[in-house]
Amino acid sequence: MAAAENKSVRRATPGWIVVASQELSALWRGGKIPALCIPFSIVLSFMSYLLATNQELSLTPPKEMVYLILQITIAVGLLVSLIIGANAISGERESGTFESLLVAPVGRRQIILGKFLAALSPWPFILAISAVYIGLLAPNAQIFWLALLLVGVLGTVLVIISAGFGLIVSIYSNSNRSSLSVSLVVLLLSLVETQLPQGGQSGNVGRLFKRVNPIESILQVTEKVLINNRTIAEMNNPSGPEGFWLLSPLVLMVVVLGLLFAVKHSHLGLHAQFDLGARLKRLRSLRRGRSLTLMIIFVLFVASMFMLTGSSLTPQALALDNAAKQSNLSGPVRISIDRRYEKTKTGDEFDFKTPVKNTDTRQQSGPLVVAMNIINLGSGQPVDPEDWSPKRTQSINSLKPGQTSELTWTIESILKGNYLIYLVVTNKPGGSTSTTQPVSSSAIHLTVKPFTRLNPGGILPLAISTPTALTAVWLGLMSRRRREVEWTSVSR
Amino acid sequence: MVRSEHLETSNGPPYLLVAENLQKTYDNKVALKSLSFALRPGRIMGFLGPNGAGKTTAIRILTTILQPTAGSFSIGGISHNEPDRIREVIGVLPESHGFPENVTGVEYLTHFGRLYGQRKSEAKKRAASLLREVGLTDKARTLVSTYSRGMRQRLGIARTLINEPPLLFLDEPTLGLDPKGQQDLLVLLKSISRDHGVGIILCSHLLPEIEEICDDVVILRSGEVVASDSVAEVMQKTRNNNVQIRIPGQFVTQAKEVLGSIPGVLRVFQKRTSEALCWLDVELEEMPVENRQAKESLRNSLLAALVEDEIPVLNYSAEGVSLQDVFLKLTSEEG
Repeated sequence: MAAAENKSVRRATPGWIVVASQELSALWRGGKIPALCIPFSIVLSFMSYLLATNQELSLTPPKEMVYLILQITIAVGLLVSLIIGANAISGERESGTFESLLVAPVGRRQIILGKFLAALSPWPFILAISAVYIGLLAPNAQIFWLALLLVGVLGTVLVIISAGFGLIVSIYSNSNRSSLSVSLVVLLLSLVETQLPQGGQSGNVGRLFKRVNPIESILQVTEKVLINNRTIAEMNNPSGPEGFWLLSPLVLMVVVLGLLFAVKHSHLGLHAQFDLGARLKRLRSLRRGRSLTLMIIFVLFVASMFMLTGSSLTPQALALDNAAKQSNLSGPVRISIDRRYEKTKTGDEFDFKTPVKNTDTRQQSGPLVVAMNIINLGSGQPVDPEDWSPKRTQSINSLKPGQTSELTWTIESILKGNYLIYLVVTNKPGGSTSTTQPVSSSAIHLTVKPFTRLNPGGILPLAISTPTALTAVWLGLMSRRRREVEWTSVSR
Repeated sequence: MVRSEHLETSNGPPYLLVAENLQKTYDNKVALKSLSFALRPGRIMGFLGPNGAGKTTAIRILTTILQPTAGSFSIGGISHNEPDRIREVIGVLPESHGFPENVTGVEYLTHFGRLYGQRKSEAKKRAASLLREVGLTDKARTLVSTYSRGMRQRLGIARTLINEPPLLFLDEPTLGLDPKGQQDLLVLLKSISRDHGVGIILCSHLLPEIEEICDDVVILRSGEVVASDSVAEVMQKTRNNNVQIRIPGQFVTQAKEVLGSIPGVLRVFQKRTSEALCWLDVELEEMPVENRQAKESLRNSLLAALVEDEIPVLNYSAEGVSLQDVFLKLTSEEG
């Protein structure tokens, strides 16, 4: 037997890789993760088929169908990573396997890294399954890649937060029951805002909640970029009208990773020194006075955030008002449009141009705003241009006498039907009580034909074959495991 | 209690483990008051004490799971301030340890081999060899969840040997095993210690077996060491003045007379009078520890007197001559 040598063991494989590979084999060997993904795939297949065949659902614009798939993908990724993360340490404590791991010469941080990577491992698999359905529903390659990029990057941020959070909770829990309860309660709390009445969701508190909640923030960015043709930069410009939507997810990701890997984990012991389960029990028995103080602190926090959000909106309005006051009086501005008729299919995009001319020969115009309007000729109702175009308004600082400025607009045909698209240009009023006369362009008559690629006949084979293939993978892994193991009855 | 000067002046191979004044306090509650002892390579040390005496706390400190509140220890010359390096040279079988689901014996050992820095192929070879050593070759590819309790304990012991450590810590390895399983496991430990020269610290409540296989013993009571030496020394130092003799009920009066007349016998009590077979508790005169021969001669004279009077002796037990008696005496409230 080798005597204790006064030097460290040289490792063939870093400890975190060994821990991760053990965790991965526990999750994947025997097909645990593929088995978990089969219901996910069945749900997506069912939804895709419904979207293609159901008379009402098939009216959903293709990009919204893709967004629906992204939402489900992110939700499943979040839940799976959260559960695996929450089970990682407390599960070992509960089953009595943790002490053997702690006495092995592997650093605490390496144990955490290995388990963290294992908690992330189902995500690429979930993404790959989701990609099949995104490809099925996306109207063109551009949307497919955009959707994949959005879910691949933004979804990964959320999955990192979720797996990391579950793992942190697990480090501070002695039992799976407490770590899973705490993790799932926090996940449910993050969805509280969606249960508020419509007014509450769109009010200041609702908006604040969306900004603070990383899930909401990421879904908001995904929706705006995919459906409303916004750019990622537009959604993350602190001085822009949308603000910095990815602030809370990015900050939270850094905090979670910092807590996992930058903090010294001497507390990662055999028993959780700060057992969350026990603390929660104690919290219930808190004296009334302390609960009240906590509630007051929470209300003050929400109120301060509310005021901060409110105040951040005010300067923009003030700046606009001041600019208008400083501008010259409006001159005779005209706006024209470069076509009269356009025919497209749902999901198709086209560009058109609108020259804006200051016909006054002596006076410079003031700041101008050009806004797009779309009317559905079938229903006679206006359509929200935000869904149809990345820009619903554009601004021109001013036009010199006789100067023309040409604006380019992009329209994406969202729903079949006949529409009128026209633009109005207006001078910003000179003062807080004055007004101006908007000027309208002529309209484009747009006919949108239904998108024909999405048909039940095309969807059915993939909708059936994807869960079938997953089931085959699962059965294959099970059968491989059966061959690896000698099966005997339980010895007593 | 072992003092550091004692450790330094002892002859023989260098100590494998030296613990000095280890203390552990949890929220003002003292779990371990002052633990000092030393272990030489290749020796088995029994770590004894009633429940709550601080055995598991001591083991967890020595295996780097817990930090001592005060005191120090070193293993193979590595200070307790380098826990990562200490973990490389010890093997630990914790009390009531579990096993992961859905792994076979060979997979379990291979994983631990890799945790200890071995290449996968090397770890697999080592796993196969250890399974052979603990008699589990036939079960190498069977799921651990189907193992019996005894097989799991043997697998756990194989795991402790994966890194060829010079020192093993085994906390209640015989817990939950049937007598045959206990015996087999202790034989296995003895062979591991003998064949590999491994030092073993063994926590157990199986005192007769401990007495049989251990070289040294540390007895704890309420976080304090009450005895620490070789098994023979501890047993010899402990006072043992009572003798129990079992005889048929009808000979009790006769036996009392015979035994009471022997010089050196202070009192003879009868225990369990209602039974057909009775125990007599014979209290002997206190003698200096050094006067071992006289004490043994007095015990023999009791037996001789009974035999001479033709009183059937069904059982004869001299209190204090077994480790169990020493343990009970040292860990009882009176001390």
